[in-house]
Amino acid sequence: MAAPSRRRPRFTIAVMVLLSITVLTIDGKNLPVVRDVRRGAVQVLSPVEDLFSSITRPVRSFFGGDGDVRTENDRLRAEVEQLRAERITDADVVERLRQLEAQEHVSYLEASKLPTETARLVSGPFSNFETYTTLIDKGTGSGLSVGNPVVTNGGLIGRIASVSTDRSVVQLLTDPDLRLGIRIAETQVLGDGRGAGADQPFIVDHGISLTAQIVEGQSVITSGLSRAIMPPGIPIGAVAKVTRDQSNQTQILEVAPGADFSTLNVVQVIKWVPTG
Amino acid sequence: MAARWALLIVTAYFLQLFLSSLRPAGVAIQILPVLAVCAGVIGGAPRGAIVGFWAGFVFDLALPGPLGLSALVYCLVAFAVGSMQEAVLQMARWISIVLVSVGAALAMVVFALGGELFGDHTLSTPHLGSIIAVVAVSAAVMAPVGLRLARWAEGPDARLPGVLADA
Repeated sequence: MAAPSRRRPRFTIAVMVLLSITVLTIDGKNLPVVRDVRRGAVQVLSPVEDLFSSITRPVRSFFGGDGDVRTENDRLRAEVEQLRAERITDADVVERLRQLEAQEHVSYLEASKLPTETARLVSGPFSNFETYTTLIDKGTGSGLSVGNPVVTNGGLIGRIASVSTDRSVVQLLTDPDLRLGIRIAETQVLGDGRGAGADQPFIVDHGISLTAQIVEGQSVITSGLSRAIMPPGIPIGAVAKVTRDQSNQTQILEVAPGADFSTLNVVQVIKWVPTG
Repeated sequence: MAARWALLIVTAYFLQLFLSSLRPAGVAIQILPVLAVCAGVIGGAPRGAIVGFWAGFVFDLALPGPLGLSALVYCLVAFAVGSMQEAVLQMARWISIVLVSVGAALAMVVFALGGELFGDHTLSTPHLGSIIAVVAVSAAVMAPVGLRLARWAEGPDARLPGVLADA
């Protein structure tokens, strides 16, 4: 029989591991009580986060380099992103109007005036593995809800995955688990795409036939059709590479995102939720 | 003793929030796994497992990932480090610091593996090497303080003579 001093460590680790697995299992069932506990923890922490963020801002700026140069760079990047997005939107408008006029429909691109909320990225993430999420400083208190698209001047950033009173977790476009319907603005070809990881292009790997005329530089926007988790017309980026997959009779597109994920600071949240 | 460990865990938690704003090489410095491993080194494997569980659980409340994953990882790593410590009668101070550093880095690796199992794509992060390196170095820097605090929390029950004998 094992000595008591040897049994105790094994018993302790067994209990702790079982407890951890139990917590993981309960969390996996997405019970409301667990969500409420986590939301409560985030709400309690948010004032502390804001305090630490304001305290560390001068130090972070110091380690980040010359403030004036960085500010100017940020401004210029924002301008470039906005110009890219406007070009994408213009191409979409022109093509859709041409097709509608060709069919003698009296309809115009609806610049759907959806309400938006400006939000700022919070100082997190706290972990080193929250690669595909980020935290913003607005939540249900500002009318946000799960599923709201998040955008910048450059285009789509992601969508809100979970929300508390004054914080929201944003699932980024780079998340391989995020799939959405897309449209090529210049040709109106429809497809399906997904994120492919941090610092990787958005991949359109479904729905583009071999006969579709796709060239590099064409603009990619949300279709708002299949897997309609986004409203139509939000710029995603531009086609960077086209690969023909003969075995599946499709074209695989690599899309360079229009938004710059490395300099995210202020974002816009569109108060739109999927109806499906 | 339990109250002291609870105080240390809560304090380390808020320090974690503070330090996550300062990201050398884009990596968030991790305090809670360092605390858990120090608990294993000073208090033994069972203490490491218990402190690791609670430190990880508290941390998970603020993370969007699976609740309980950090708890599982920290308790396993702290237990393993504590077991290694118990296998040696006396250990020089620098070896304890190396153990803490390796334990914290190991926690990052195990977390990446565990996160991948739960569908979080943690292994595909392009900065895993940087994460391990920065966390290991920062853990080595924090280890002397962490080991002293662990000794304070254990009080008279600190059971491993020879560790920090010159502290």
